[in-house]
Amino acid sequence: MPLETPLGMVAVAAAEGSRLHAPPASALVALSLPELPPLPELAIFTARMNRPVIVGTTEPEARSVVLDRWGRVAPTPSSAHGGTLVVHRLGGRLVGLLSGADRYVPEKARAMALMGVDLVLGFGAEPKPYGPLWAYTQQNQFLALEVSGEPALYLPCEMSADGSGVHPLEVHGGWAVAVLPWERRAQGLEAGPVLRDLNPDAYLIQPWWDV
Amino acid sequence: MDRTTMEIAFGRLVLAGLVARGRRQVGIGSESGVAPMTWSRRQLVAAAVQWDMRPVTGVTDFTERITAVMDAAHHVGAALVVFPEDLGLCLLGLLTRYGGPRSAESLSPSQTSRYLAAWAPLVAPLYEECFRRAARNYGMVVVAGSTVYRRRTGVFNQAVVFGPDGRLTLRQPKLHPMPMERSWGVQAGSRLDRPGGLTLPLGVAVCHDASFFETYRMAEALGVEVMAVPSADPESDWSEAKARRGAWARTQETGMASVVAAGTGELYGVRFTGKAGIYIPRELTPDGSGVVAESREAHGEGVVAGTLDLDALARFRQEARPVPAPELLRSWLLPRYRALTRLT
Repeated sequence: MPLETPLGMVAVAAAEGSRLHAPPASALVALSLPELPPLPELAIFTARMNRPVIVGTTEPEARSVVLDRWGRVAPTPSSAHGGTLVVHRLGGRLVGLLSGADRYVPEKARAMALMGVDLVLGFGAEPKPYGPLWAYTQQNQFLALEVSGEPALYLPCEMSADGSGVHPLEVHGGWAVAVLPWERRAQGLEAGPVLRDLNPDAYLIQPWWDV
Repeated sequence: MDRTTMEIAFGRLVLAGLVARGRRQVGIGSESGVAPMTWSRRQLVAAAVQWDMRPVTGVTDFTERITAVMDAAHHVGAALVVFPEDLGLCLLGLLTRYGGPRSAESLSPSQTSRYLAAWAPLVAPLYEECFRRAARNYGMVVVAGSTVYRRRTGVFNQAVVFGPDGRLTLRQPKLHPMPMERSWGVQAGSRLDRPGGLTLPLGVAVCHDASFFETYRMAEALGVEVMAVPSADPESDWSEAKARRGAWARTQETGMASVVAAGTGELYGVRFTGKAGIYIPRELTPDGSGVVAESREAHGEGVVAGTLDLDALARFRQEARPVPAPELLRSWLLPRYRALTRLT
């Protein structure tokens, strides 16, 4: 087991009886790392966690990988700000992944929203307050989790308790744990779905995508 | 004939007379004319207006306030001044002494829609006359906020832009009416345009239009570098987070500057809050805020001004804002827009 990588250390520590602070049983586990660990190592970690694990890397090479609770890798293509959308169905919800330069392209978040994505995970630190992921959340009304050294959970302003568009996170044993406020999101969508106000006719008249 | 129909007919008669007389009374700045205000790509001074949206008590009340704003903008060397959304509707206050208009709260949406469609277009010529003179007599590009117009295909909330010679250079309908506006019969515009004959790379996003990145992308494709955003946000309580999700956020996404004018106060039962502001990418401001200038309060009125460096903004867009891959748009986004058009 390669101890020089963070996941290797976690897995070995757990195998040797260290107490592993595990998130709730229904949780997805998301990690942001500088580079992707070897897949066998990730598989062991995932099996140890017994939960689906999503790992994203930050720039310059943005990649992400999704493993189910048994450590099997779900196919996830590499993506810069290219033409691929990375969307998975996890825990009964559609989850979109944004990493690297994708995080600075609002088109990708919009396409995900129009596909019906419920949750977007953004890998890498965002400027605060009001970073890109926060802004995409406001104009698309999905939930978004910033997976970084300073994690944050975003939701539309109207749906957050203090109107800031940021949902509180709890930190336990090095894990930032969030219970995703699906009910609040559903109520907000019912009260005022912002995507209803889109003007697709106008967007299609002017070929702004070809410039 | 029901009461609403009678009120509308009476109001139309009165307004027609008041507007015709009012157009002859309009006096803003010096009629002797001035040279256009100068600007360069390295130094464009822009002014954003925060306006108390109370109904006017007379034409002079309106023109004196416009004059005060234009004087302030001229004093700081502004070549561009942006007024808030729905400004022309304040002119319906001319009818107050004749019994109208009433608070929208006391009317059903369909009644409001009837009053709006019948009365608001009548004050548009007076509204345009005021701003045509303001632009010409101060030599500035004036984004005159917006008012309600009737066109062949329906009623629109439309911004107008005047060049420094007083020529009307753009009518830009709002592309994304709010649900409240739609309930009043206001329809969505069908395209975004640039003012004709202006060298200033200007575009207009009317309030809620700035909630959608598509508006800024369409403008960018037209060569726009500065977005004027006349707004009047029907929120009783202002919050920074809600304010930051519109033009400020679009500026961060695209690297285009935004000059945001805000309506405040109360107009016919609708309460507004908002801050006038000028925004650029946060990376280009020393404190990382993305704010060049912004009103201190979300109530009351005033003018804020700031200097924009369009060359620096262009360099920033080139270096720091990725352009989405065309295949993403063609494969994923456009088909979904097409699907939405089939649904609506």
